[in-house]
Amino acid sequence: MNYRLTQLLAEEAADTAATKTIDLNVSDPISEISIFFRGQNSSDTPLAHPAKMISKIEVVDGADVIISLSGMQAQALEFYHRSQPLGLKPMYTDDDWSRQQFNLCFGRYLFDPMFALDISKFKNPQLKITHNKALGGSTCDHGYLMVYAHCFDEKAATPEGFLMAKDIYSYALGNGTYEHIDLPLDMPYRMMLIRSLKATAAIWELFDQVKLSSDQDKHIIMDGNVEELMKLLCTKFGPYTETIQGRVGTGSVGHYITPTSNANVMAVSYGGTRDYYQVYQPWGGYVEFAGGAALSRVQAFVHGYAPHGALCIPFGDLADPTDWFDVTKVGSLKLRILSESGLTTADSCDIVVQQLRKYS
Amino acid sequence: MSTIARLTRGRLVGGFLYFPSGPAGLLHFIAKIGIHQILPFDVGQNYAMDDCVIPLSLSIDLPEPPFIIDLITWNDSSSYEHSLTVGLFLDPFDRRKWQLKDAVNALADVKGYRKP
Repeated sequence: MNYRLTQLLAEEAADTAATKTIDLNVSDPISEISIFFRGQNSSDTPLAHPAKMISKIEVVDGADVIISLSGMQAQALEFYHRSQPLGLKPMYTDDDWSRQQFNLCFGRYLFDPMFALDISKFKNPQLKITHNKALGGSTCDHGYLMVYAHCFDEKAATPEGFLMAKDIYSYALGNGTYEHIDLPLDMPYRMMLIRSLKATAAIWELFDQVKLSSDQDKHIIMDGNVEELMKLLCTKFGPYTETIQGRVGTGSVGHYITPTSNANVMAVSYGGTRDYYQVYQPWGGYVEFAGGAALSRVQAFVHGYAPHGALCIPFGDLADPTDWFDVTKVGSLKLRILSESGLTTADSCDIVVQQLRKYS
Repeated sequence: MSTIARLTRGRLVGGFLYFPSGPAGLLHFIAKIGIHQILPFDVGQNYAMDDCVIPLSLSIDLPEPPFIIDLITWNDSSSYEHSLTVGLFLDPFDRRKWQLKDAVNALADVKGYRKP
């Protein structure tokens, strides 16, 4: 068989918040790593999106950071990487499981022979997963963690590099202020995410304008309004769709969804009870449902954009590495972001960069 | 609370943390580059000391911008403010690290030179 699915970590209990460290000692190149986390809800009141149960995913080789992302960043990056939703179903009902999957993609697609993580090129690579079941879902009282690796097996693969993704900068959004960020120049860029998340706010209500320029504005690569950029990206990546489940009565209950902008939510009853539902303000990854009668299970179909508040800037044809942005040839690369007015220091923005890292 | 240390290209070779007398373990400190925690090395841990100096021995390269370290502190006390001093020793790189391909590319426009 050309490939195999290797279990790096058999499912184990993750009831206590901790950082799980897994030595990556697979002999064959790894195309993708899949992390599964599930938390069992103990109430019908959602606290946060279940992706928050994984606060950090890192692949490190000593002090060398290969992958460094939060759970939400990893999911947002994967959506833009694949141009399709993850197929997850956030559950917020008591005793049900909130299951989340986080994929680290080292190639352009699964089993990309050109790009994969070759463990033999590193000294002591480790996967570190920081989890806390209490941070997402509906007051989860049990959690489980499991990790798989999609590896090359009988098919010989000699990857020339891999896709590296890191959160390189985080800052508190000011009140209608500019932030100037110097970006790394060591490896070609495939895509960049600019991410900000605030309940009831679309991303263009958090940061208004984005400008990317090189060599002190000698070349202005892009300079635009975020709302317009978002609409341009819609045609390239398509919408993010998902289904969520909750339980509500006559009082409105807030739920958390993955799309944060231009989101449309349609709620229907699920199960034996016939009911109607009011949906209110599906913005910023937060939506409220209210039912017409006593507690009943609601299922909602969600359609929108900017998963987890992430705006993607792709650099060329994502399938053609020769078309990506070769920043090694520029003297400086600067990103300028203008925040919206009316924000506080509690509102933050982070920058994620996906780069091509070659082995030689 | 986050304090941003804006450095330059180079290697972090060491430093120190000075917790003055008073915090009694209520003042906590970690340092991050982006989302990656560098101090303490163990993710999820933090420094919380009283009246001591913690020497740091590091070997962390900052080869590319942004040359920023987030110094994150928090205080469990609601009665008193506390402060600490952070020192970072940086051995600056003279210039951006050159690779062979940079020299090859630089010669690309030379007449008669043929890129391999």
